[in-house]
Amino acid sequence: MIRDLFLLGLHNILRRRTRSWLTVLGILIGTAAVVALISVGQGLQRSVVAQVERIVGYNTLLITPRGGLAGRFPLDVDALSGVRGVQEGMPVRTEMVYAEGPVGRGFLPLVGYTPAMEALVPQLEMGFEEGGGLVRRDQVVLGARTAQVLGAGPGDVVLVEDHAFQVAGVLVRQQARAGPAGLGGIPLNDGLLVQYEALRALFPGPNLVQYAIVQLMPGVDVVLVRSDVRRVLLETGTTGAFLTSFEDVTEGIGTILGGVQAFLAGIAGISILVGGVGVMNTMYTAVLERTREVGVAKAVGAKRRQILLLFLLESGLMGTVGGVLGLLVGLGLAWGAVWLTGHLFALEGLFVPVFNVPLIVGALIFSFVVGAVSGALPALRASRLHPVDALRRV
Amino acid sequence: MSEALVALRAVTKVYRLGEVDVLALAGVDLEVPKGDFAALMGSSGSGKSTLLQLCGLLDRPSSGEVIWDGQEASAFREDHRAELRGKHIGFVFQTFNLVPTLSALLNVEFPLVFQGVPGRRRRVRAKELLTRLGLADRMLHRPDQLSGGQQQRVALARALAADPELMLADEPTGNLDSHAGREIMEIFRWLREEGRTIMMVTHDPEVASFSHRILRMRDGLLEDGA
Repeated sequence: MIRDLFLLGLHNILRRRTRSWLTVLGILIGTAAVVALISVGQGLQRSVVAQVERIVGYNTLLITPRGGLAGRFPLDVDALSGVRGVQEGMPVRTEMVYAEGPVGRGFLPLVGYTPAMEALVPQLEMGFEEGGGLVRRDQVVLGARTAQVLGAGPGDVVLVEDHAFQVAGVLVRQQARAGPAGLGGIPLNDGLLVQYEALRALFPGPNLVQYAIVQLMPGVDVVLVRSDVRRVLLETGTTGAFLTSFEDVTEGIGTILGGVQAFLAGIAGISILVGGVGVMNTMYTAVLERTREVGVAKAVGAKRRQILLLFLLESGLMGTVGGVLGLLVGLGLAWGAVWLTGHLFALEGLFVPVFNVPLIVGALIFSFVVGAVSGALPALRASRLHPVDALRRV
Repeated sequence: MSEALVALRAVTKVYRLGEVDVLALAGVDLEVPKGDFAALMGSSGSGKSTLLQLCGLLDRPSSGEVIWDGQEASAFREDHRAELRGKHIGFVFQTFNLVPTLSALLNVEFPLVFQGVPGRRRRVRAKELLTRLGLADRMLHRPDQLSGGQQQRVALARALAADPELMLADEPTGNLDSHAGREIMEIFRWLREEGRTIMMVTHDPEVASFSHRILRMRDGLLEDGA
C-alpha cells in the first residue's frame, strides 16, 4: 500500500515537472551548502591536525621556553628520560662557537647530537656526503656548507673553541630546516655536530637547552605521563618552560574550528529551512488545486491517514530528491572551493574535503525529514477535507 | 420485498451558508431495497444531491438516522464510513471527477489502491472493466484526451472497480450529448439487470424512464414518501 501511494505521489510530481523542480531547488541549494561547508571544514580540520603533527607529533610532548625562540631553560635529561611512560627525552641545544679548519674559520653553530634526533626531529636528513657518523666524543660531523667554509673533510682536525675534534663525516645538504615547524630549526647545513656530552663538556654548567622533544611509549595515557613529566621537571629545576602535547594543540584547534563550522553550517541550515518553506508552499497549493481529487479519493474509500500519507510521501520525496542532488552539488562545490583556494593562494594539496558515511546519510535523512515535515500541515489539511465540500469545489 | 440496503428515518440536513442556515432536507423517510433502481427528480435546490450524499455516507444528517445494511451508519467513525464507501458504494458524478494526471487505467485502479488490493489484481480488474465498457483502446489516455462520454465511462468503470452493491449517480448524463448519454444509460440498464441497487439524480425524464420508480423531491421533502 505504501509503495502504491508512493508511486501515486511520484506520478503527481512528475506531471507538474517545472513546479516540482523549483520546489526541489530550494532544498537542493540548502543541502549543497551544508554538505560543502561541513566537508570542507572537516577536511581543513584534518589537514590542520596533520600539520600540527609536524610540530609536535602524536604521542610526543614538546618542552619549549617561555621566552620565545630566543629563550632557554635548564633541563635534566636523565631525569626526564627516567619518567615512567617516557621512552626518550631528546634535548636540542645549539651554541655559537669559534671553529677553525685547515682552510677557513669562523663563528658557527655547534649542535649537540643524540641518537634520538634521527627519529624525533622532523625533516632531519642524516645521510653522509663523505665519511660516517659520530662514534667518539672527540669527533665532529660537518654540515655541507661548513665543510666548504672550513675546507675540511673526513680525517681532518677542526678546532672548536680551541679543542681538537676529528671530522668523522660531512652531512648531505639539508633540503629544509630540520626541526619542529615554528621553532627556528636546527642549522645543520652551516653547523657542526658533536655528541651531546662533548657539547656539555665544552660548556659546563647547567644544561641550558632551546627545547626538548619527549617521545612517549606507545599506548600510555598521555595525560598521566604529562603530569608526571611536569612534576619531574619542576623537581629537577626546570623553570621557564611550556609543556605541550599534540592533544593540547589539536583540542584547541578542534574547538575553534568546530565552533566556526557549527556556525557556518547553522547558517547553511537556515537555507534548508527556507527550502522547506518552499515545499510547504508548493504542497499547500497542491492541496488547494487537488481538493476535488481528495474529495473523490474519500468518496471511493480513502481513509484520512491514507490521504495524509499520500501527500507526506510526495513532499518527502521532493525533499529527498533535493537532498540527493544537493549532496552531489555539495561534493562538487567542496572540491571546487578547495581547487580554487589552492590555485589562488598557491596552497595546492593543502587539504581535501571529507565525505564520510555519516555526512551523506545525515544529509539524505535530513532532507527527507525537512520535505516531509514541511508537507505535514498541508497534508493534514488535505486529510481533514470534508468529502462533500471537497467535491463541490470547482 | 427485498430488505433495504439503505434506509433514511426522519432525516434532516441543515447547511450553514455564511450567516444563513439552509434546510436542505426537511425530514425524509426512505427505504431503498436491494436491487432497486430509483430515480430522484426535482427542481434545483430541492435536496436531491444532498439525499444522494447521505445515502452514500458522504455526509451525516443533522438529525435522524441513516441505516446502512441494517446498521445505524451515522454513528460510524469516518474511517469506517470510508471503508464502507470503498467496498460497497460506487459514485458517478455529473462532472466525471476523474484524476486529471492519471491515465484511464490508473483512474479505474484508484479506489483499489486505497483498499490495499495488490497491483496485479488491480490491473486485471481495471482492464476487464474498461474493455467491458468499450474502452480497450483508450486505457492509457488521460482524461483530457477523452471525450465526455468516454470520460464518464471511465468514471463508471472506476465506480464498479470494487464491485459495489450500491451505485449512486448524480446527473450522470448532465454533461453529455444525447448520443453519449444513451450509451451511459445502456450501461446502467446492464447494471440494473445484474441486480445492483441504483439511485440516480436526474432532471431528464428519458433517463428516469430506465428506473423502477421515480422519487420526486420538493423543498427538502419527498413528495410521495417511499
